[in-house]
Amino acid sequence: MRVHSVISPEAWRFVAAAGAEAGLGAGGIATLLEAGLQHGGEANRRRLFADLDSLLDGEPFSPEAPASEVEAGTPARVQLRSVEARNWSVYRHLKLDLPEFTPEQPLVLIGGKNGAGKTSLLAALVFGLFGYLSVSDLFAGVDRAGRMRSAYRRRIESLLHRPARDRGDLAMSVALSFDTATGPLRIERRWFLSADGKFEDEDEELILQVGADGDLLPVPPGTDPTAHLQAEITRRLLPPTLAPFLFFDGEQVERLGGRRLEEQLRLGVESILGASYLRAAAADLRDYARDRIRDVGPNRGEADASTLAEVGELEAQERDLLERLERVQGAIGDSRSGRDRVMTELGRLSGDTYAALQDLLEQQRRTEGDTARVKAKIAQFAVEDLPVFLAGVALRDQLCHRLEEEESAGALTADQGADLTIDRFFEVLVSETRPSSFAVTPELASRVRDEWVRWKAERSAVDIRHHYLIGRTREVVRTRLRNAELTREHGRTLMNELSRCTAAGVDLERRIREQHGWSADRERLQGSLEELTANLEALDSERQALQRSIDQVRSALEPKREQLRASLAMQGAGLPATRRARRANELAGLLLQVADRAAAAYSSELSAALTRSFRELAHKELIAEIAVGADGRIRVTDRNGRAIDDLQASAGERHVFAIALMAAIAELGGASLPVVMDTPLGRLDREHRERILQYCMARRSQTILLSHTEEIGDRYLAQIEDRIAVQFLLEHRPDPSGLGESVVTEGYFAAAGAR
Amino acid sequence: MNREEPVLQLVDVLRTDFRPSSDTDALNAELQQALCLPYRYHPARLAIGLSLQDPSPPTPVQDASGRPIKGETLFGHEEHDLAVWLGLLIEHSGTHGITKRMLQETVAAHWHRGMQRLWLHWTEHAGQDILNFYASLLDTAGRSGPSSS
Repeated sequence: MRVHSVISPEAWRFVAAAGAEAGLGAGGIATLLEAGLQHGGEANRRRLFADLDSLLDGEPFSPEAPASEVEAGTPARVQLRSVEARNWSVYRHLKLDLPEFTPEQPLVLIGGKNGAGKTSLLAALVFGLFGYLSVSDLFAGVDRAGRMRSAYRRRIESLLHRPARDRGDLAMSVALSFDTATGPLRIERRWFLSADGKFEDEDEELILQVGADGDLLPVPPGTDPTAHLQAEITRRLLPPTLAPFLFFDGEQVERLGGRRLEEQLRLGVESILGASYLRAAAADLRDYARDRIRDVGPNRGEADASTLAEVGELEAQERDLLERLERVQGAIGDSRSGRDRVMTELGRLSGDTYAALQDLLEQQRRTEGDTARVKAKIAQFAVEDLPVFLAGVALRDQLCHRLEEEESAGALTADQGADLTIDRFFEVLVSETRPSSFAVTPELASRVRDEWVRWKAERSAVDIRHHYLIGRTREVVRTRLRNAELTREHGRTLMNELSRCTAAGVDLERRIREQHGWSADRERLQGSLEELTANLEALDSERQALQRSIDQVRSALEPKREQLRASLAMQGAGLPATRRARRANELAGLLLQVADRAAAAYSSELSAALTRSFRELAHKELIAEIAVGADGRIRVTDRNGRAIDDLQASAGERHVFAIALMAAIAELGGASLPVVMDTPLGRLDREHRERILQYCMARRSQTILLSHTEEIGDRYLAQIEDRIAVQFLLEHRPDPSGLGESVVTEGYFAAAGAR
Repeated sequence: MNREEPVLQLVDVLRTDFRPSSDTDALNAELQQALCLPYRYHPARLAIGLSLQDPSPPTPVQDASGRPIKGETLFGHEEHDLAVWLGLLIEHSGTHGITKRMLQETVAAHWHRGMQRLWLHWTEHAGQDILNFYASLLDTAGRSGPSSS
């Protein structure tokens, strides 16, 4: 059955259980999906509607799906034994033979530099297994408009080995051999391009060989061979929805890791359960019901068709609103986490760091004051003491010496006789002139005496050079000249002080600049906080508005559904078209319920697996549980049941979370399947890398690692070497035309191997 | 002793204008700015002091057309400050009975020579660093020998 080409047997049990709860039964869901998958993607709806006519006219659906489908869910170890490709991308001919799996050596290591063909090898696996079903953005769901087909055609055209195209060899192929529970399985897919390099859907050939003898798997008459064989691949190996979790490259992990946790999980769950196929089938049924009611007649039929259209419209609105609500809730969660981080950061900056900045600024003010004071002292020193000091000790000594000589000659001192003469002079002056206000003060007496001495010196026989220096002035000058030598020490002290102040100022400025960096951080964080708070308020308003809209849509939807049910019931069984439309309408509602219920049940199991794999892969020992709540939100808790909000703190951890999610889904989908990872460790730190390699070694089935030497080099190779079953090296060999081809040899990078 | 012009007394110096050459005036202004000194007489005093260190007589300046500074400003208005400067200048010149004009010419010559050397200190020895500048001046003083009278 085609249904298993999109939903794995493991995931199908969740869908079937939800179908049973909804009263539809696994068989019913399978039948409806089958019809949708057969003709649902066609622009012309006639074939689909004709199929639904006969389905809805027939007996009620069997509650059980065919036994063979259920049995197919039994997990068994699957291992890849060989890959062979011709004219595929960089390979003219690629042949890899892998040894039989043993738990002791579960790893296959394939090295290759950039451009050597690692991604082409991964593509060969995915395209070989799933053909056009492999072309979709990871988790993008089903492209109903046929864009998938056209994208696939372009991709195939681009994958033809360029030298082969140049020499006119326009056929390429991929052959994959597996060991499965039911024995060997060989899948070969061939593509034939036209002379102008174009590829058409019918130019693809799929061959399945089973058993030790490689018997061709027969295709039942009347069925589409490719569709039938594709379903067999799903049944015997895995569905395409599981492929992104088993065969992935770093880019894929990055894309998934870039999404929010809730979104990662929802997309994973939806993809695994084929929820988009269920919703598409529901939409097909609504379309069908509308179409058939229109045929009933101009009155009632049109009215019911109109009601049905309104129901469809309201359901679409509800879905759209719910999706928007989910996005808004996710954004609210992100904003809250962001706000918490900003507040934590702000708390840190506003504590010690802010106080330290204030302290530094105070120290800087003090140092600036000290510096200004020292500079003022230096300026004073430069104008008062330094110039005389600069005249030099020789000149100063010489002047001192001369002044002493001049004094010792006696020409510049007043003798006792002179003093008596001056006293007598004043007595006569006072007695003869009797001035009314005249007093002989000591200052007046001193000046008269100095003039007397000067007069005497000018007439002296001794050569007096500094006759203008007399009395006390002469003594002061001599003292200053003698003390000038002290200027040197004083100057040095001042220079040292200035030097200290300058150094302290520079140091403080540097420290303050650093602190100002933090201060700038604080301003930036405050800005972010305001922005986040405003954003949160806006988001919360949006959330409330969306919730109100959803309530309104639901309150409008329910009476319409009831009205439609009643109207269709009143028209009785006499009108087959009405009856079929009513049934289609009911089934559409049931399918939507199934999608939701299956997702809830699957999420619950996935949470447990995710907790296990994340704890194994991430070095966050404190995480005890990752749970998906009824509202679809992820709650990460520690051992004490407390919520941890910082899981999304780093891109590296989201990367690990994405890998953990892949591991969990792979585990639920069947831990027995091989996993192929193309350079998945790029962004991770050492510890995460080691843990992921540890996880690979512990897997109970084959793990194929595609790596370049920078990723799995000496250190990591040493960690896993004993667990490697075989090593290969992909190398590109250019030819004179500049194109060349990639070849595979046994062994790994020489440098890494020659440790 | 020059009897045609009165012999200089301390008090005469206070109101006397002392003019540098125009070149010296320009360098004086530049150094004042470079050293962050508030007044023109600050670098002038340093220049005259530095020139006095050299016992040889400075070359007379022909063009004393720079802006003048009064004696009380250039050497200080306190009698004792003035006395020290006058003593040093007269002792360096070895002249008896110096007149006002002679003193003006002597000061202009010292100012000029000292400013040239000061500028050299600033630009070459100190690398235009104030601390180095003063330190090098402190080192310089005391290295010269006694002047001849």
